[in-house]
Amino acid sequence: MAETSFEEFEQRGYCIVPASNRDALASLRVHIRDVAFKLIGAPAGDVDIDLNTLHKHFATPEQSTQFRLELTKAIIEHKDVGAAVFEAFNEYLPRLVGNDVLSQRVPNVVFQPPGDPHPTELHRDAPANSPYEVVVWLPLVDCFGTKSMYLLDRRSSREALAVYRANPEDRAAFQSVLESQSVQLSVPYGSALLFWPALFHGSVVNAERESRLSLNTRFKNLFAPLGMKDPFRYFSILHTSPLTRMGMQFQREEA
Amino acid sequence: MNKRHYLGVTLAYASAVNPEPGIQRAPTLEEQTRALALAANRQGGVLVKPVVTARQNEGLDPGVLAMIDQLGADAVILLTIDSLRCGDTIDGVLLQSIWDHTGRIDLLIEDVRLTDDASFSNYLYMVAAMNEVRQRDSSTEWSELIASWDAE
Repeated sequence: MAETSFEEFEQRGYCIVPASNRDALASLRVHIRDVAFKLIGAPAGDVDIDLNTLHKHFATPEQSTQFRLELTKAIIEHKDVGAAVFEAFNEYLPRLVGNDVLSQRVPNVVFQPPGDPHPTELHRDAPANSPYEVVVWLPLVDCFGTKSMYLLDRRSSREALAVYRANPEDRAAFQSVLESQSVQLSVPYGSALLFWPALFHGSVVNAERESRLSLNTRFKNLFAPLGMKDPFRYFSILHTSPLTRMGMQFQREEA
Repeated sequence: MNKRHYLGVTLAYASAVNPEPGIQRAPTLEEQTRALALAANRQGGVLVKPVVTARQNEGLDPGVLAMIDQLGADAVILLTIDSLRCGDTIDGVLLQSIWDHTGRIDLLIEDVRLTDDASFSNYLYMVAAMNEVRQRDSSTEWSELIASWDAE
């Protein structure tokens, strides 16, 4: 990771970085498109057009939601998606989480057709997630304007939380912080947004003419503090270093 | 082809109510047994009777190993890895022994199937690491370290 991106990440709680392994990312995107079109039962064409026009295959928001749920299950059947994401951004992620890595077992798929009435509500992941995780938000199409997501950086998230805690009933004050300080991000395909789970974030109704299809998934160090989520359901080991394996085997045999 | 014979392990929850967020009540032992039987069938196996029951937060009695031998089970299916958990610690030694007896362990809630030495070994690393992490996270020393940390 360029040192500037690291500094940004620590200062703001997020950064946008280009894939360090474009081939791994391209392979993942084609895999997801292929699985999606198999579910739809339509012939695949140009991957960028296929994904940007995905909404044309669904008549109602309910159909889109059902498709998203099926896609979430299907994409992990024959591919370790977490491993593919880690590989695509392998210049950055090991420097954030180290070499002993837990990967979210089932990455989240977000599909927001134009005008879909169910954007992601404002929330933050931590708590319940551990604040020692990194979220990788990976657009599979160019995401800009309302097709993308917004977030509040570290300082603004802290301020928003203080406003909320001071007066939980005052929605106007909270909304004011949100509207004045949230950043609508442009993240082109080929890049990912890496962000800290304690940042407030969400999305609005996609008013663009194209679909948004994105993944989000989380990584943390194997030995980092846990959040409230059960690690055995939520994570699996992606990597361990040789030294860690040797140390654990030693403990098992001699402790 | 012979069917795999699964010994089932249910979990007697300490409270019948709300074992975790989003779940209205804990499943009864009968419901768990039916679910384990269905899961065993889906894996091409059969659940042998009787099932063994662990008590939540007390761990599983090592007598399960004798049951495996008596019933001729060649696999174990646990409702959850929490069946082997006592406080912050999952009993990795018993997990290893179950593996040595059967070479096949399924975990229903976690949707995990350990089918070879590599997958088991990887899972055992996870168990060992989570034991260490949970004990550290809940320790007074860790709380004091976090309270005194000043990164900025």
